[in-house]
Amino acid sequence: MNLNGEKIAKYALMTVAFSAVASLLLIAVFIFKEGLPFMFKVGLRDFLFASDWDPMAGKYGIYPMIVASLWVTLGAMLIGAPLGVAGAIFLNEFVPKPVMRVIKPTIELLAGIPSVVFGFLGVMVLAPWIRATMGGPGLSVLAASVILGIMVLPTVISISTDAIGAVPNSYREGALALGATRWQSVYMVTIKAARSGIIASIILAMGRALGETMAVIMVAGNTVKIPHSVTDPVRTLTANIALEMANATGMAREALFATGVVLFVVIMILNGVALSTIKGRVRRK
Amino acid sequence: MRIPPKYTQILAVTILGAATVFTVAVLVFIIVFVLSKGLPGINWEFLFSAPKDMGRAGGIFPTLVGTVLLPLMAIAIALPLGVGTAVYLTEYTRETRLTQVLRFGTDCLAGIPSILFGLFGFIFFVVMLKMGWCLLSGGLTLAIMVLPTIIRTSEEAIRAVPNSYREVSFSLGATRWETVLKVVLPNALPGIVTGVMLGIGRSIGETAAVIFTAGSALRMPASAFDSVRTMSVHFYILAREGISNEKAYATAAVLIISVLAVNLAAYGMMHRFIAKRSR
Amino acid sequence: MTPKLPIKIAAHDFRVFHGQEESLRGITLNIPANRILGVIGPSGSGKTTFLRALNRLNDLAPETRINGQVLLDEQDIYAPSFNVVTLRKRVGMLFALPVALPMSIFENVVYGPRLSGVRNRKRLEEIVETSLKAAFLWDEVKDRLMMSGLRLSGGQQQRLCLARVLAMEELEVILLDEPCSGLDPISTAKIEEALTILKAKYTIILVTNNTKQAARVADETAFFLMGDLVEHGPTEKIFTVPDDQRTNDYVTGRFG
Repeated sequence: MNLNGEKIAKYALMTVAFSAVASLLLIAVFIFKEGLPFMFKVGLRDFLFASDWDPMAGKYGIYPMIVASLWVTLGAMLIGAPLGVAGAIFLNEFVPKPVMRVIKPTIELLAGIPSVVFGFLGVMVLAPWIRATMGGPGLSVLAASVILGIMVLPTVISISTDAIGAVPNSYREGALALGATRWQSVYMVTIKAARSGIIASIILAMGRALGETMAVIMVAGNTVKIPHSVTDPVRTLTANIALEMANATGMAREALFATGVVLFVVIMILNGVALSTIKGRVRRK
Repeated sequence: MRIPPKYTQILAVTILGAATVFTVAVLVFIIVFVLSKGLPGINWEFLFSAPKDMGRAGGIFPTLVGTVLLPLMAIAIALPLGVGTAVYLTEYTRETRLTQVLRFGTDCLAGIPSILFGLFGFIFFVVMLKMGWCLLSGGLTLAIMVLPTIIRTSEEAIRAVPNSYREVSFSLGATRWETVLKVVLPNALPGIVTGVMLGIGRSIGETAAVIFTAGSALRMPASAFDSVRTMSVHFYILAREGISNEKAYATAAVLIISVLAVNLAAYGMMHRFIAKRSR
Repeated sequence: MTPKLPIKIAAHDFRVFHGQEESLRGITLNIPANRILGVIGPSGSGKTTFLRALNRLNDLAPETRINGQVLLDEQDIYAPSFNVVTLRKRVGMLFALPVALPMSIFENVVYGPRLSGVRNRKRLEEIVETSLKAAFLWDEVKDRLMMSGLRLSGGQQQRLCLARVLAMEELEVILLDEPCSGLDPISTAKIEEALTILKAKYTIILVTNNTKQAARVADETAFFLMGDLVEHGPTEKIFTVPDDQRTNDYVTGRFG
């Protein structure tokens, strides 16, 4: 019984171990199965690079959404990356350890705030302020960028802090011993040594910003139009999927899956880059 | 002209410090703001009565139930799969091509945005398997979503179990599986529970993946094949459709308190675990 | 003199490789039953590797290969048909550092019996009492058997580990890997005393860095050096008139 049970356990566990990879493949297969044929039916040019989105009229150009996603994601990074990296450096290098031990978990805890809450605050607080000071409808590229920028802060800070924390103390001491100020040692030694982890944190945050849906729907305005200024309302790829999902059928639904394919591919590329940058450096430290 | 290092130091520290204070302040502001607007609306009746008029009046009880049931179902599915995967990766194989593929798959799964989980859950569970919008569809979708978290935390917890425990167990004639059951898992339990808590926290806050798989019916579910609405989804609908800002704030406050409580419990658990290990 | 004792364990040209490195280079050694064999030698000489090979704990290290034979009661323990779980129940091991499992003293002792399917509470209590008595720990812990084993002192933990090995009903051979290296003299004395009593029932192999300990308790002594068995014989002979110059140098403290 003993050894048979042992064999059963082993093979059962081996099967189970494939659950994550199997899920990943299943997700990919189903999204591609629904989306890819559509892309070829409409034609890649008319799908990716046409500006008219009107499923009722058979027009499926997602170019404005691609541009919108890019603007919003880049905007979020312009806000989230410097703040997050600055926070990580400051917490690691200029704050006493006990204080850091309180602040870092607090920030990570905040990663748990549901995205819809961020979106709601964007609508209630940020959008009115933008409307009042800069004009436009308020719900805009800028509003979405700011909200997403704040949302990715915990990701950037958490991973960057780990990367900076992993830099051996001897590096810093070496620089300090040569007469560098604290800041010079940080600037010339620590940041260089932790570079790959910091970059990875930014790329992963980019993936999160690009993939975020509910908060963006609430604050971006959702107009299908190529934005000309940061106060213009836009609709991102993710928002497009979520908004039209409820009542889409037939071709229109396939179009949404095709949008999902684009999103999937871009996110996988970002993840792949981030994982290979990070590999063996920050992870399983 | 070159600025002396002493001044760049002061300048840099000031800028970095300001950025940090700003970051923490914004994040704390969000919580304080929502709680201050929402807490006054929370009372016994709000928590434990059914909503009236689409949520414009009344309470949130069915969504509270949904928020408990859906994450529990997700964990019930993901826990055996995640822990099993972690046990296999740590106890049953060496580092090979295969384990690299399995780990890479897990990492990739962790990076997929929730809207894609929603799309997949919708087309696979709701449409293809004809399960419809229901607790089970939502639970399965969320299970896949939290699987990477559970695998990673379990793996780390299992690796932290001292190897000497395994050797002792083997030397007393235990098989590998007996060793896993009697020595490895009991000692990795706090770490595994941490992963479960983080998974629950993420499930509670999730909206995009839930709304397309579990639906948004505003009534008490009677079985796993009934549609449910979680607090997150309810909050989203209240806020997005402008039904009631007052109820939206109150719901958001309950939501934030639940998520923070679960995450805090997870961190507490992890800290005790680390403290115990280093003793 | 003493009658010729039956051979309990026999190694024939036994080799162990860790990756490319040959850690044991053809050991041939007959170990008599109901005796204490002391295994001495400087660190890195292959003593521990040899010991761990006897209950196949080296199976757990992925890069390890073996060659040659080890016979237990004339059966090849590395034969595919030989059940490694049964082997480990017959050949118990005590490690250099005491490792009490994070469970109660009681549960530590009955770990092996429970695996063998002993369920009866009364039977388990008997096993705990006899094993702890045999390990000279009973009097110190009899009133707190439900306390975590981790809360015992190092010396007590090592005796708990000994009791845990003795609790296995199938036990025939006890392997000890420098069991007293981290212990105080009193705990060491207690373990040595236990061993001299236990040899009536078991075959004991004691790897030690402390040559004096081998001289005190071992009936026979084997000297290992750089993966070779240099010399094996009655303890008095090894420590007074060894055949090999290197043995002489080691036991007189000229190196090691």
